[in-house]
Amino acid sequence: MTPELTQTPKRHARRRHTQKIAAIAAAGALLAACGSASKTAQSSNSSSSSGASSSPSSPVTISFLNVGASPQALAYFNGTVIPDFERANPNIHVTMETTDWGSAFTKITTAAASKTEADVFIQGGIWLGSLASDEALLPLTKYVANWSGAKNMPASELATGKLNGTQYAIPYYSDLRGLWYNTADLAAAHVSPPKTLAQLKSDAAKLVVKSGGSITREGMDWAIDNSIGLQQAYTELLYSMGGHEFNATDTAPAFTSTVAQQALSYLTSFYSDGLSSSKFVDVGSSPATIAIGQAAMEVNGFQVYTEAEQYDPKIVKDLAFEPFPTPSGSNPVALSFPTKLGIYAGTKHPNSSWKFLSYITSPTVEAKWDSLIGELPADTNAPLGPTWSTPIAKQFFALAAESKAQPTIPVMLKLGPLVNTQLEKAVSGQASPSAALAAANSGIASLMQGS
Amino acid sequence: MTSPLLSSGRPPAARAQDPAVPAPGRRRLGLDAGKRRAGLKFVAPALVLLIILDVAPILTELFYSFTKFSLLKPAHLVGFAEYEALFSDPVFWHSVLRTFYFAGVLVVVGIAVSLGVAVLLTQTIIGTTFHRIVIFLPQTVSYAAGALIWVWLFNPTSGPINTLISSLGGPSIGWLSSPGIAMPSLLIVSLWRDTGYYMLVFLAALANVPTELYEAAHLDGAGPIRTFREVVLPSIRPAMLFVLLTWTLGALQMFTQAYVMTNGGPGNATLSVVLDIYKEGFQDLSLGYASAESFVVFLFCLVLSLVYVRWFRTRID
Repeated sequence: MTPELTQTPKRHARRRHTQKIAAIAAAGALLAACGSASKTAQSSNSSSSSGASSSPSSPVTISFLNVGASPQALAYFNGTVIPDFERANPNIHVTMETTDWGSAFTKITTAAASKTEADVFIQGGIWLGSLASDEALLPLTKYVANWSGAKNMPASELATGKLNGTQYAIPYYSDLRGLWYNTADLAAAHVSPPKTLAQLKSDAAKLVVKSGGSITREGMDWAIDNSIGLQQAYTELLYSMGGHEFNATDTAPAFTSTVAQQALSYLTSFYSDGLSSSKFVDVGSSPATIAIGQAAMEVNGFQVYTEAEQYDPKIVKDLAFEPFPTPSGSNPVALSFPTKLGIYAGTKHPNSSWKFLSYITSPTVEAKWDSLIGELPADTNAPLGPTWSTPIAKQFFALAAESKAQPTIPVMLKLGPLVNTQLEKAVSGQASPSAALAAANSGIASLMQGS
Repeated sequence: MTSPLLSSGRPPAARAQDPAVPAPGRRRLGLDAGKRRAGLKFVAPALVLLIILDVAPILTELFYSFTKFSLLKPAHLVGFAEYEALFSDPVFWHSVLRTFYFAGVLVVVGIAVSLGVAVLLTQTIIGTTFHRIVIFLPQTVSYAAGALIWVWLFNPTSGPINTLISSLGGPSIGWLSSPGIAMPSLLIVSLWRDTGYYMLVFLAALANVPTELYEAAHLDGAGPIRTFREVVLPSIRPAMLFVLLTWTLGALQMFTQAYVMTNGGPGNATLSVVLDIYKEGFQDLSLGYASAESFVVFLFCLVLSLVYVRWFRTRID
């Protein structure tokens, strides 16, 4: 028998009374907490909606979410960037949070939902449509209108930060796509860097290496990975062939167009003809295939160079880069997928947040930061250090000025994985190119209707 | 055949006279009001935790499944719209089929392997303890870490498995990139990770089979296979229920392997339902749709659990 059952009725009653008081107190505390949270949210909303943040003359603390930075880049931020900014702006204190790319989007959206989002944060190339249409980003149009940095950015890249004419984000670093090739492999095969799509394929046929029927070095790698690498490579090819994912007004998908079909048939022919292999998949943080000598040519961004430096430095001297080939060999197109900086719509300190954002996108700070993470600064006025004085880096800068970008639409975040899945099916022979594109087109059409 | 182990061991007459054993038709808890209240107080903390951690999230999920909810904007009620979208979505049905395939193969092959290994390790062989430790060892590795190790092992060019196959003159296999092979590759990883744990469960169950039963079977002229079928299997039914239930439910919720190793690809070949829920909810921000999907999976797991338990109870009783 438990001690409880031996207690007197009086003691029972006293305990029940105590329990009731405790329960009422707990309920009261809960209600108070809810009320307080609700007040905070209201206060935050009213502050941001009025646009009147705390005066810069009174001390404020803003937070910055830094995504995917290397330890050296974080040390640069903590040791130099933030102290320098705080010295120049004594009333603004900055705290930095960090996360990896894999979980960044989830963290940003859940933090925004719980009103705990960082004031300033880095965002992936195709997140803007979703975040802006869900009102998680502060409109920056009025700030950008008076911002000197805007003139240093390629118009196409700056436009990737807009949705329906409103500026919501500022490009932080570029991610341009083009054709990488290994000069030693090309020399050994007696082929020149391809300018046309026909030459790209004939070169790939001469460059592929097989052993026992299996490809050990791809003639051409199309950047298949666990994310949307294949979709980005296909988009580069599609734009190079004069096509587009959407109709002229960006209101409907155009994956069933003749040029889209031709582009995918061309791409899949590399796999069916044994010039490329779908077995070469970049998983997680693994390097690009060409950066470790498993491909002679590859469509990819500047990270190929930095990955080669990290994983196989002897390949670096053999790496070269050209704009992606076109059908005629002229008018190459470079697609840009810039990573951006934005400000949380619910920030209590929009002006201070903008001050910090404009400071870290200033040419000197941005150039140093991008050199530490191995990316191309979006600001063309950024002083070029040793990282950017190589011929390849200069090529990238030249291309950036002429680059094109995908349109910013709310469903862009969903489009990438959806199309990538269908392209994987086409590449692996699970679906014909026309069936894969029809499925992609139908999926995107229903997404656009839903949005 | 009813195992002697699984009965109470007392004759029916004795049970009928025992006041602790409820007579047929008698209330299961013949406690007075005071004792019932005391009992409730004892279970109250657990009950509160259960409500907060299990019941409340399920009800919340049920509510959101009737809404359009993007996480960043307030949810608004849309009735059964998300369920209609779900049931007409070919990707959802594809993920369901892939999950059934994964769970079915994993549980059947897994039970056969873990029980087989457990039976082998009950024999007098050299290094039994060593073998048990080695087979159990993968259980100590987190799924994510184990999956990353296997990504390297499965690498088509530099991975040890393909290197070995090539050295023997075999072809290079796209373990994670070929649509037909990717899911079996995930099954290999899951078997590697889980077999040791379930082997231990079976070992414990086998150790509880009375030696008298083996002796009786031997005296009756039963061979090893018949002894296993007629004596061992009925005696380990509770353990079998546990393994079947937990492994099936775990396999139906497969996520980490697919997320880390293939992200559902190639071409959705390894897309499990839970990975699809994650992608819908946290990548596409379709929380209402993801909630509907989660609730359907929850209902299925609930029904499956009830069927398993009822099926085994009839056999155990």
